[in-house]
Amino acid sequence: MKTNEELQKDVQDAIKWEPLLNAAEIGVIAKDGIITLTGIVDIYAKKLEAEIAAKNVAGVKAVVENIEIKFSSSWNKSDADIANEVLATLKSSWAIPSEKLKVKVEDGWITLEGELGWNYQKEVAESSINHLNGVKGITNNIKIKPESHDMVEQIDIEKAFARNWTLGSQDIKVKAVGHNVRLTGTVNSWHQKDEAGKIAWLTSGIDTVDNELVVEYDYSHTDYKNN
Amino acid sequence: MKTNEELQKDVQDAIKYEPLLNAAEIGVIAKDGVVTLTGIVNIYGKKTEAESAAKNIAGVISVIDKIEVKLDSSLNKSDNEIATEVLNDLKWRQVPLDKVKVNVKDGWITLEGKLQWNYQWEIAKNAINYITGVKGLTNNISIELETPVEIEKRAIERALARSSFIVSKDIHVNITGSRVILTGVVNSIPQKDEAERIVWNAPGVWNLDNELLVEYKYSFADLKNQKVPPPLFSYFGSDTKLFGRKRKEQNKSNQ
Repeated sequence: MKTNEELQKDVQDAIKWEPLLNAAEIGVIAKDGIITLTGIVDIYAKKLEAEIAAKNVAGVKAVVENIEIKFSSSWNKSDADIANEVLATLKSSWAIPSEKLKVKVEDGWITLEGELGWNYQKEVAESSINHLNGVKGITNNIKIKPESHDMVEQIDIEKAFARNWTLGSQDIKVKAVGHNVRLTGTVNSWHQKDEAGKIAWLTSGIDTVDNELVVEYDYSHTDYKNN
Repeated sequence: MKTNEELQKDVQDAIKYEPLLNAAEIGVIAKDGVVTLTGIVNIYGKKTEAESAAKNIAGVISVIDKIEVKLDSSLNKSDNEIATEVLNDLKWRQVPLDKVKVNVKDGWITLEGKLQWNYQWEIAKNAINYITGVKGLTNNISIELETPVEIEKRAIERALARSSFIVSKDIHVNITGSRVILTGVVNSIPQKDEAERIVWNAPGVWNLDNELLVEYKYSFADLKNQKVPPPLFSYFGSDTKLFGRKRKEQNKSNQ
């Protein structure tokens, strides 16, 4: 096990390692594997990036992200300007049927609404706009309405996990009921948890994924690494 | 090891699993862990998606992507329109374009010039994936900080060591001037790619040769199932064919 101090330092170093981030702006508190991030940044993407950097550190079980966004006072971009950039970005993407989406911008906060067939479209919509200047936050309220009426086949997901580099060896329990899938069990990294969720979402007929996987870094493995 | 037929089927199944791909359009050839993808798709992003689906399959040690992009004839988008969208997209995603030139010819995009960081190129690449009318992308960007910095080997090693994503620690960092050469063994292509991403974040890296070998046998899961990790030589014994779930079932039935 890493001590709280060791984990704190690792997360700070990981944040410092990302060129987009200015580590001095971001505070890191570590307690029993739970990391709290605080501070003020000027671009929404930096918030997301800091969270990802923290999650990928060995030993981190959960991240509480309390980073705030403040723009420099010289900065002024109207909600209308932001909305225009969001719409143009969504429209240029072949993966997103942008005509099915509604965009609302209020004080720099973007809300996406509408119905799409696949979760990856919902994610592409969000990731394509999270670097825009002037964005304070994104609420992604897009609903997934599967194109297929079929129920989710549990065995399909199990097979997809089994053939994956990252997940093949993990002890993940899959429970499919109707259009919902629930994932439980323990994995060794956030990357594995995210990858499992992503793959489950690719299944035909799916409309919700409850990703309840617990991230538990295996320290015996670290010892092995250090041998 | 999976047989060539098993690996081929796994990759085909994985491509079929991707909603935006039409598996019938894409041919898969597997030989000793090397997967070759062929066929014709109508969107550039489908080509990159197929490649990444294949890379995620256990047993794939490298992917040769020979998929061609043929745009639908109904799509009428000029190079100028594409260039405008690319420039806007990159600008809005904060990619600094003052030293970058974007050329578009018959839908093929070439980026030339200098960026300070590799992650900026990754953002650009990802954005271009989703632009309609794109046929291909050539990267002629060089990564250079404005002022040269000496690369810190120890810092790179520590960054690799603290990642929970990268399981293998048999990674060696070699530095010659502004070039980093990675050698050693990792357990999967995603880990190989992540190692590369982490190294690119080190100030002063202008070139990176990722010579990491992807080794299928070297599986952390199998080690985990043993209470005490055995020495590697005995471990690569007769039962290296058993992986993941299968291996666990085997263990259970042995108990």
